[in-house]
Amino acid sequence: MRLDMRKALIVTVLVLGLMWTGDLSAQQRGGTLRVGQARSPVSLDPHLGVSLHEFHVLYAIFDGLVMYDENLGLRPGLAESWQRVDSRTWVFRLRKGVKFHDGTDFDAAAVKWNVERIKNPETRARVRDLEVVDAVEVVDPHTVRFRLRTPTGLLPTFLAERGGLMVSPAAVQRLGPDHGRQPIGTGPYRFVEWKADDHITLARWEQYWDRDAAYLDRIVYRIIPDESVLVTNLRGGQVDLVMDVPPKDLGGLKREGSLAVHQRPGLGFYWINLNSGAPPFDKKAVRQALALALDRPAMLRGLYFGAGTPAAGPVAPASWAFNGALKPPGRDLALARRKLAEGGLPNGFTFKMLVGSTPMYRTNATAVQAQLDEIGVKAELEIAETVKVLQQVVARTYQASSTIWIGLNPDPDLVLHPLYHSQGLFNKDRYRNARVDELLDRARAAEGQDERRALYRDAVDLIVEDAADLWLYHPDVTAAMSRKVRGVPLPADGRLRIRGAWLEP
Amino acid sequence: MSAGRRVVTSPGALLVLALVAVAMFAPALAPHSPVMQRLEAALAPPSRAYLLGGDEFGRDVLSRLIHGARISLGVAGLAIAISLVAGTAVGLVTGVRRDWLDAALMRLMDALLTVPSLVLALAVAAALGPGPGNAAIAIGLVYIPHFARLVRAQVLSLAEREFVGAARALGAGETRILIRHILPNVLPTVVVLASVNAGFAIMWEASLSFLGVGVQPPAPSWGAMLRTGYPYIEHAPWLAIAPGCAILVAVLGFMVLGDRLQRLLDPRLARTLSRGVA
Amino acid sequence: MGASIAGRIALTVPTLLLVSGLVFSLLLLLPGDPVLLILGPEASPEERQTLARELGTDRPVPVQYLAWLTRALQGDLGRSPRTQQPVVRAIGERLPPTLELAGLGMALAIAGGGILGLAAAWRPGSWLDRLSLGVCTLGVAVPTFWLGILLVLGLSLHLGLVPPSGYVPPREGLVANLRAMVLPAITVAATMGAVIARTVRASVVEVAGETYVVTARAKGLPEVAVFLRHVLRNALAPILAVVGLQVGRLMGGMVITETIFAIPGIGRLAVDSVLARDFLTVQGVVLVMAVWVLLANLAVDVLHLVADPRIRRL
Repeated sequence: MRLDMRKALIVTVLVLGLMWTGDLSAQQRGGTLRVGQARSPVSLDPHLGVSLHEFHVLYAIFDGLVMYDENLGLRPGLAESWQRVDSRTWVFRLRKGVKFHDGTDFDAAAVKWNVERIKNPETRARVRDLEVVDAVEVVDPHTVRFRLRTPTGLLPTFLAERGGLMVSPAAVQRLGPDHGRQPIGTGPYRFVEWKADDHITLARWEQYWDRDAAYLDRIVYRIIPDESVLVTNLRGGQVDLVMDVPPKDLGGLKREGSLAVHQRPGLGFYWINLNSGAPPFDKKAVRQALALALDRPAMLRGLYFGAGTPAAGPVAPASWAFNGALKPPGRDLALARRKLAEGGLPNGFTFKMLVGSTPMYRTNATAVQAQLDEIGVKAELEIAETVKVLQQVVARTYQASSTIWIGLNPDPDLVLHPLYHSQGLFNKDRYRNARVDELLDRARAAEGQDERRALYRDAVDLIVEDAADLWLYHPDVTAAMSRKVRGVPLPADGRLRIRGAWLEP
Repeated sequence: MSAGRRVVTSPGALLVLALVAVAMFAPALAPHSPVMQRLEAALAPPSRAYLLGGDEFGRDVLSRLIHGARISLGVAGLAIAISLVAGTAVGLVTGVRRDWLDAALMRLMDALLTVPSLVLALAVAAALGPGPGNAAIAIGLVYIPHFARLVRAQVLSLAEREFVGAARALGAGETRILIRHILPNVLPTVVVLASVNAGFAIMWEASLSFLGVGVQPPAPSWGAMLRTGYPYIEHAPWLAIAPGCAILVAVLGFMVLGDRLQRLLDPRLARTLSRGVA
Repeated sequence: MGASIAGRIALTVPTLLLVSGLVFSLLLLLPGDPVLLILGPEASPEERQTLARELGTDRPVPVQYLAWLTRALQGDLGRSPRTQQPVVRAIGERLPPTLELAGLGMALAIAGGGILGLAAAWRPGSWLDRLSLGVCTLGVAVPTFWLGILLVLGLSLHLGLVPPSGYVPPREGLVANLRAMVLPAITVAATMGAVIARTVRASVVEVAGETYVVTARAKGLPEVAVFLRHVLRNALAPILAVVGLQVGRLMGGMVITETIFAIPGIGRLAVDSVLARDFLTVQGVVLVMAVWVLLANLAVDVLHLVADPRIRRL
């Protein structure tokens, strides 16, 4: 009953949110929008960074060749149209008359340069999706041809992510490594200033190609690391918009008359990553035992103030590939103990869990630790900074980790392939299931969404049956903003898309 | 009243003794388990059954505070032991040798004092990895120069005194003079400094845990409790207030005790210390 | 006098060298590899090796240190592998807020500590003296970060008197800037002010008992004149020494205060860089802080020579 009330509330908020964003009649130009954010970008070079929260800024400065629409479907960006010529060849037609913020032209040569930059090992780009690209050819100044190593229908999706965000070749050549701190793109807002740990200022790009964007004079991103303080600033009107609202503050903020709070089920998930390539988690029964020992709804309510959905697997209900028949396992300690015995560990065991230093990773790990304790499984937590976590993950010396939160990606491939394909970037020799590999490969090569949906559902069924990891819950994506702020959609990937934002006077 | 009784019955000593007792008998004193979670009672306000309320996992804050005394006092005690032993050794050696080794060690001590202590402790703790033992080493390292300088100064002034000269004239070896004559005279000063610094070591442990390199969950150290409770300051202020009070009381206890010891053992030092210590 | 000051300045050079060497070797013990930080887990072993060679992290520690030192002497502290920003620029950007906070905190501590100390010294043993002692003991014993948290909770979240945290650059409005600095400055000043107050009391009481003061008073000089001309002047030297010591310690307090109040200064940079294993930045920040401490010590020595008439006569 209470859950229903909550759902009803979400729907109401959503509808209200859509009414605002859908209201395109009276956009006003001018004003400064102040965005508050807890985490500072590390680099604003789209090809070098990795953090999801960087998209909040990146999408203002850079355009993708392909862009996402409000429902996370693909729509034209810097490319006006694209076409799959054969299984390994794509042709993209580019928008004409687009200029980078440094005044240089955006054209086919710039696209070729960008893709080659990403693929050049010297660049140390963190974008790996474009490894499928064999070569980019300039057909004419406004047409490029992509030749692929392996057939994939996903190229446009890859080009809507970091790899498709186009940086100015002239600026990168001039600035070198400093480009990450004074980025030059073609987006609706140009970079003005970055005061480390304090604020980032952008200003309208007067020559922007899209008339339905860039209404604001300026955007200031204020970095306020303390969440309570961030929320106080929003309440007090010192900032106008906050993404990723701390769940403990959602209730209070919704009661503020001057604020609009948007909340919807998100695509990401919190999880405990199990290294199934090594004992004790190489045994399926042991992993299943752990999955049965967790009380997901209690964790969601107690730790995350109910702002999410218990997770059944790596694909969230918000995704088009979600299989509604899949339910999260209920807590069953007796069955969990039997599964432990089946795995040859009837008396439980002790394992080490690497924990990222972000509070939520620690909180989840501590709760999981207490719940596993009831079936005699002892988790020793080792809190470690990102670098150390990475080291152990690379060396596969870890047993389990509560760390990297992946999954806030619009396309299921961007979650499933890296994590569960035996050749996946973040998987390597961890989880392997030949049938899952085959399904994911076929889904990559396929094109239609219906065909892909069926393949992903089969793959997820296998991954969940294998209990490859412990998926805890899918947090809602949230944004809270002053009622003056209009034209900011909140898609299920939780990224701030500020191009169409405007302020009511 | 004897000097011993005057120390033991001082308010500082009583406070410190009480804290030590709490730490020793924590399992008997704590009303609940410090790690048992009741997610349904997360952030529950103080009530009769849970006097200081529940934390973000619904664990009993009072019980965590009581068990936390073990960790906080333990880390501080170990840290002071490390700095006392190492610092006294360096002080004795440099005070007696007064050659290149003296020069080198004292330069090293000066260099250590030049790096802000918290940054140094933070870097050492990060290098060693999390855990109470490593936190103690990091804090201990920071205090070594303090002990070393104090002991060295004492040794230098003692070396001029008649009884040392007399012992030397009687043919006593340097090592013997050091251990039999100088060390006992240095000890009172060292004890006073140890007591004062023990209070600060508790604060240091809390600072390191607060910054995230000290004690790790689910172990309840006061600093770690403050760190995890701080984000909820608006919704559940008791999470940050309770451990802070505990730290304050402990630091006060050791300071007052140190002050009393100082007056009794070493009135001359009392004057110098009251100027510079913090 | 000039020669002795020059000697002291010369002595700071080997200390700085030692500090940098010490910190450098300590940092290399830090688990965590800058190569991984840059490339992420998805890179191949070959890619990692190439970058390690490029960054020089595959060379022995002394070699790395010498290379760093050579460049440091030319004013180049390297480039942070985490943010790709030159370390000198990262520190330069964050120095102004730290210096402002240090200045305000010092001013507050000296003013508050001075008043409290003088009030206590006025009638030693009075209730005012006892109150001052109590306040000072609390001031020294209270954990800096906890005081900051309580101030945020009480004055900001509950009463809404000042913004809870964040930094407003002075050019965006001096009033807003100062309002944002109130709580951090109080936090920084608490311990320092308490120590200064105790010193002021001790040395004023001591000097007030000296024969020349008693004589001056007996000659019928007004109380204020006695105080200014005789007591304060002679009590100043130890007070200055303690203030200098505290200024040196200030940087340690910055680390916590800046973290709590989200001030983009070098203290927070130090914490973030240590936690992120950003060696080069930590090394640079430590160096700057060491210079600050050495300068504070030097200033104490110089002031001592200038202020203390007895030493000057020698």
